[in-house]
Amino acid sequence: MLNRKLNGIKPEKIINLSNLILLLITIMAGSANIAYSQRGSYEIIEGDKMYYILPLDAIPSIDDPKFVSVLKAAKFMNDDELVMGLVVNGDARAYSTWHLDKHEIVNDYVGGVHVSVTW
Amino acid sequence: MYVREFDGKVNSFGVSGNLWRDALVMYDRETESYWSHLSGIAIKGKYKGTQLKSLPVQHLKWSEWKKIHPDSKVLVKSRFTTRSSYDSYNNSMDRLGIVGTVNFDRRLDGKDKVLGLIVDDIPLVFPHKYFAGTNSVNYSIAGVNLLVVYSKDAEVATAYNRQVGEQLLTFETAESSDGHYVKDIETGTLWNGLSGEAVDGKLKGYKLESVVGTQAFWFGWRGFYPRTAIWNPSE
Repeated sequence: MLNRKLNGIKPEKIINLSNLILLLITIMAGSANIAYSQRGSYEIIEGDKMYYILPLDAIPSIDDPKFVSVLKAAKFMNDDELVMGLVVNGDARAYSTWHLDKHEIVNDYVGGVHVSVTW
Repeated sequence: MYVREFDGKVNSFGVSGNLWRDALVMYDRETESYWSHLSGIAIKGKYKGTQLKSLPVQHLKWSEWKKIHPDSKVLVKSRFTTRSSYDSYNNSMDRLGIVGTVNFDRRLDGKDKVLGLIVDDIPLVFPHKYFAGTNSVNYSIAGVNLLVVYSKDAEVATAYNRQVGEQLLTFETAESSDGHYVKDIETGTLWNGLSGEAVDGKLKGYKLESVVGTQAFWFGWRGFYPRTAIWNPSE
């Protein structure tokens, strides 16, 4: 009788337990999505892994870039520094890749065109 | 470099924090679609499949840029830098990608620097190391006549269209201390191969039209364009 009762309860408990595990997985997956902290997490896009390395905007793009002349830039530029150089409608601009290492993207307006310089 | 005016709006891009095919994935702030910065194509979200318009950009040494563009504006830095944060990565021949990958295509070494072009959907690369014996190449593909000039001083290969008005020009190396000057056979005009400007001769004042290219490590380019043709002067 008791066994029967237990047997009767058991399946219910298993369901509860699996629900609990599902819930835990959902919570963990959810926080992993928010934190993007694990190098291992990824999704497949066109057959290749897109890795989640850092959260959105953890590397801040430059959205309000400031510029100086070549003469003034001598204070902070090295001759062997690699730059991204571009000319749009006669407007020439240089962006240090050493600086872009920490920003990756500059949203700019050059020679009348809105551009994103990406590194 | 991409034009961020599309779909009738000005958009702005941020860093997604994701990597795909060993390259930066950016996102647009309006729809949060994900875009590959190497191909300029959206890989996820509302704009999936859309390609941004590219504009020519050079990746070169500051010492040479300021010579050809003394009137250039220069981005102000918010912090002091004395080197690239990726120096050790860039200089290591073995480390491929931040998450680590394999060079599946041994035609070139994984870390060989290349200028990658897409001409009429055909991907091709000009490896920097193949410019050891010459500073330039006349190359024609799919009806497009290209000139690619390598500057040793600036460490950059730049692609141009060889068509100037009605005239198709053919270039050869010109002797110069800078090492990136070329002369066209048709008019004898001397050109600066780093700026594309004619500096002396009949066509002085003309400028060659730049062609969009991407400087990349071979393994990175190959990850996007496996069927790439490789220019090799010895073949």
